[in-house]
Amino acid sequence: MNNRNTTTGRRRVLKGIAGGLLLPAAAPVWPQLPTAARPPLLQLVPILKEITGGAPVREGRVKLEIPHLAENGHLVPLSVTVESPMTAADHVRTLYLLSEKNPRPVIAKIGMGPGTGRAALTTRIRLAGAQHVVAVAQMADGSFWAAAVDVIVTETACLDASEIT
Amino acid sequence: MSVARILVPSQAKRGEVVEVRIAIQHPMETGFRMDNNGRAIPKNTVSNLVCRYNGAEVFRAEMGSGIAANPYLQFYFVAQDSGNVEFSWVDDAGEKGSASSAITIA
Repeated sequence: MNNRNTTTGRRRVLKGIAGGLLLPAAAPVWPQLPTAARPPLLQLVPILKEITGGAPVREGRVKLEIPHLAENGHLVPLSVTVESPMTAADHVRTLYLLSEKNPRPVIAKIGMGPGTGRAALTTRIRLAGAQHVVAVAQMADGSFWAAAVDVIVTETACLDASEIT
Repeated sequence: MSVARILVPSQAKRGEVVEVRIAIQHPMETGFRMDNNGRAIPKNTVSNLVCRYNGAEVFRAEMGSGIAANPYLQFYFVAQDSGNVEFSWVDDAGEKGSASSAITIA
């Protein structure tokens, strides 16, 4: 009698575990934010407006590669690639590298053209604190495309902390 | 005096997308640092860099204090004819620098 009870108990426990394992497939544990509601692009709005003149900035086509954890903010390697055939009709005209928290939000403004051949750039940047880094590309047709990456910086680049909050 | 190291392949095929690298020796002073007497060190960055291939501009970079010291750039251009790849830059103090390398189309 006692023995039977324990087996049914075990069955119930196993059933429970199986049910629990199936749950995440049905409902994702971490809900994904809709891309439009993500904060990085919005927080950079004042400078974005200056760049785009109010034109919409779409996410995509730009690939920004940057370490998620940067040990030293003085030197953070960064790679940007833009999906573009780089022809006379369709090419990247300007590429902006923007920072959310640096005292000067525009890290670099890159001019490209059909002669560039490939819309790609690798450089090393400074970052004042953990933040989002945004790359915005202006195409030949005037459209804007962007990508944002969240970077954690353990040692900030800015020596005068009063400049940033 | 601005010193730079550049890496441009000496040979390429016609129409090939060629990778170039440049590293300029420059402190890229942010303008936010103080010297030992507490005075602000003026901002001095390589504000403008242009890469020309046989006279035509293929790449341009306007850099601010967000670019790390000794700025390094790696980018591409399309090789068409034998000729020169020229880099020229100027910093906020007005100091100019340049470097060039020849490329042969095989």
